[in-house]
Amino acid sequence: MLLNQIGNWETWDPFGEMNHLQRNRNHLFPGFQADRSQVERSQKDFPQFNVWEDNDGLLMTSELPGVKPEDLDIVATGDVLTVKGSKKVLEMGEKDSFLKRELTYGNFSRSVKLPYRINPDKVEAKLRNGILTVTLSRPEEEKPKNITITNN
Amino acid sequence: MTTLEKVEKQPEQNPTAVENSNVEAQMNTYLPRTDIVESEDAVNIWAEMPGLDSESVSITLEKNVLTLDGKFPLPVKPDGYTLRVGEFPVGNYHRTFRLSQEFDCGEIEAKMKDGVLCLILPRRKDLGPKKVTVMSE
Repeated sequence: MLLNQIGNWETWDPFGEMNHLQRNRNHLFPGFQADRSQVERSQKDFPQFNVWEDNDGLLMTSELPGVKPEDLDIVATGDVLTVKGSKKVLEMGEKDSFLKRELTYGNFSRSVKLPYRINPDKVEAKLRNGILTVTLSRPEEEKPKNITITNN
Repeated sequence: MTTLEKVEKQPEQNPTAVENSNVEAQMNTYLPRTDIVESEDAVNIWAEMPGLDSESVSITLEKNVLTLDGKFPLPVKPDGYTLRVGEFPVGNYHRTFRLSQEFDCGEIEAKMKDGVLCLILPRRKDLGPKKVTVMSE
């Protein structure tokens, strides 16, 4: 009990306390918080990634419906992956007009920091049915090493 | 530069839904984002359904209600991988549109292009302007 109190005192973080208050306040308006975070997310980061991992590296998937492979640019350097591209309106005549417009078009770019440096020679990218799949391989020197414990 | 947050920090993403073997039962259904474009002789519907091919989408027309149904192809989880960061959920798609009588329902065309369902609804040709001749007695 005493240990806990000392621990809390030493690591007391006034901003953490404010965050805590903020959380409590948001708790009163749960709908508000969910809406806001969704809006912030969708405006800030496009495209969105799902990141999968196995022993040999990462597999990142992203939804890019309507984007053509030739309009997509993927660069992997060190531990940063950049996905850049543009989405164009499907064929449309001069006299045609929008009755409903929910899709977004234009240029996009997002760089993300990866958990480790990847092998830049072994990057594979596939675009199928509007889903981009990027396979990144983890070099041997970046793999976690087991350390054998010996008795002396 | 943006960072990727670990799954644990994002309760709203619910990674267990993806990891669970019984995914189909838990998969959410989403409204596909849609553009509707009007041209002189047709109306085009573009509905975004990323991840779906032509076989996973079914389109039905009952009376004047057009229903789009998309089933996300399983498995969701790539073989041997574990989800570390989940920023977007995947799921099925469903949306209905009420059509007016001015379309030629037998001639509706549908195609999947890069995860976008493209529908062409041609207008009925027999509804064009008709001239009525006035006869004299």
